[in-house]
Amino acid sequence: MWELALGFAVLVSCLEAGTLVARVLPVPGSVLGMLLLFLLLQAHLLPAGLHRAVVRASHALLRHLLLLFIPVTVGVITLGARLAHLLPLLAAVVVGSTLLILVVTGMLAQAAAGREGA
Amino acid sequence: MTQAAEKLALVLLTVAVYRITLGLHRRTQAPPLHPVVLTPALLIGLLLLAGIPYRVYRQATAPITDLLGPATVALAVLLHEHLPLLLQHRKAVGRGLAGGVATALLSVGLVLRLLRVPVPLLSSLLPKATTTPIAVAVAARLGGLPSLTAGAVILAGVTGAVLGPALLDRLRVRHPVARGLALGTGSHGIGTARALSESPAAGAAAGSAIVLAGAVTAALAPVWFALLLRLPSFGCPAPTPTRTVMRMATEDRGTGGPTDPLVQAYDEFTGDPYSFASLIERPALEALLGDLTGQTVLDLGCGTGRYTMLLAERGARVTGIDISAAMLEMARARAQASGLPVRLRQADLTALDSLTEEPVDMVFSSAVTHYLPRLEPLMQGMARALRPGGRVLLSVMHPLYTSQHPVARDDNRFPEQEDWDMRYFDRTPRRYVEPWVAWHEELERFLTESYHHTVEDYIMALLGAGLVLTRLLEPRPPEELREFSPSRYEIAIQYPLYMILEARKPASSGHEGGDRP
Repeated sequence: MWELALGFAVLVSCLEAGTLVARVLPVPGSVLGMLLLFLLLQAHLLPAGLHRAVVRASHALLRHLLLLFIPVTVGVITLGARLAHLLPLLAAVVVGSTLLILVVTGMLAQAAAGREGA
Repeated sequence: MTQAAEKLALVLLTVAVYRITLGLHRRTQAPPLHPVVLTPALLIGLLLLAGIPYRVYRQATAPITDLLGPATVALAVLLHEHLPLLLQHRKAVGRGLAGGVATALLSVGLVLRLLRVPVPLLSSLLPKATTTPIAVAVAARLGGLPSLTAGAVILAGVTGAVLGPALLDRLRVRHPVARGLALGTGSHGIGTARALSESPAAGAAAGSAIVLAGAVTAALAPVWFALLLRLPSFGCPAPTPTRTVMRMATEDRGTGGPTDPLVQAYDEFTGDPYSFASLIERPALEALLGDLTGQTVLDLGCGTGRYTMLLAERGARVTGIDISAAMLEMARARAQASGLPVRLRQADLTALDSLTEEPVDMVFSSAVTHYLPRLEPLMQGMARALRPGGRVLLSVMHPLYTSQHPVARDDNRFPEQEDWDMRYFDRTPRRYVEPWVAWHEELERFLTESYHHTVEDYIMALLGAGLVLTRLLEPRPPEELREFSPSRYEIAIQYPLYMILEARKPASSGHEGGDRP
């Protein structure tokens, strides 16, 4: 529990640092915080105990990532009639674009990975 | 239930529904029944059943949503752990991700821009291939609607999880890393779950793809978005410069009945739980109304009947009056569905004389007077319609607010920012774009004509009609608004948006207000 709290504190610190930088960059603070944490982990800049704590806390949080965005998702009820006539179009764009991404990413990666050898 | 208990109950309900759907998913594994779809669907059903507005739910569950920030940071751990695998296949990762992210941004951006979809929808969908916390954060920074983004992200996830594996088989994408990259880039977390069920390597590749694609999208989306806005037409005709002037209170617009886009947009706007009307005006009026059992009430300029229904719920026998037949039709449908005693009539508010056979106990009106060129006919009509001792409850757009509406110009061009200056004693009609048509492609061309009345105008017209002012209120934004929308709180705290006048017709016999010289 103590370790989780410590790890969580590291996550929040990175988030705060990222939010600070986000004032001058158009990128969300949370993404900048993520890059900061990645650098910290990769360069082994964190003391071993802290490193272990943040890894544990992250896994605990990510296990229930799905729960975290449920309140935002429930907000689709506020979209309502003003958007109703556009929803089929928007849905078609989302589905079409997703399939296109799968095709492009899959084929490019397959071509490259095939040559690299499995 | 106290407020704190209600908040806790909503948080617990969310967690409970999530646990149940998660358990269900472990047994069935059917992607359309994925908890990410089923949990919100069930919760929406429960909120609608219990009549809990989303505003309340969202505030109560803020502690859950607040964890999205730290959770996004936590994604760094996934990247850190999978780095060896990624480096081993760096060519595949590099090309696959570059292609995938480019496809995502290009396809959504170009298609929506070509179709001239309103800009907030473009910003909502642009980051839809990334994981929800990143997508919502990116969309919010670009001025999108977070809930639309969340819905689109889930649709992208389910699409990839359901159709992805078969599609990749077809294309002979067999390498687990390539499959994982595709599923992670196109369908984020849901795709990753699907990739994990194929092989650990595919799962790891998908998990890393979420993080990398998310980071790259977050960095590129704002730049691409700005570029898209500078390429507005792609050969499509530019928006028509001629604009139709709309006079809300004196013209019967919206001839298409309840399906008329104008009527729908108006109804949607006035019902919006986040509008200033819902947050500032309505609570103040609800507090003032009290019990109206047995009273006869006129609702002047009732529109689609939002306040008409509130008056009826308070026990009044209401007659709603409006110039627009289409709006009245929607109000009628609403009244019939509720079974409350509501009558509706089409009439011009500037010619109220012929309206009431019998004097009424109360005359109510909300946000109508700024559509009327003169106040005197309305005030005198109200005084005539009232029984002696009867009450007036008049809610108006505050004169300090209407004084800033842009003055009408001959060319009917779209008012610029600098046109929104205070001109308090200027009686020229004002022309501006109503907030509820502002980003509606079909309605944008309407310029509303409105009229500014000073505080003096209101009070003197009221007194001139023989009415006695008993209260004047300037409702303030609620503290809760500061929490969930600081920018809107700032607007609403800068100048007053509403002024509510309460008046009575003198009970003494002798003179009838409207008959005064």
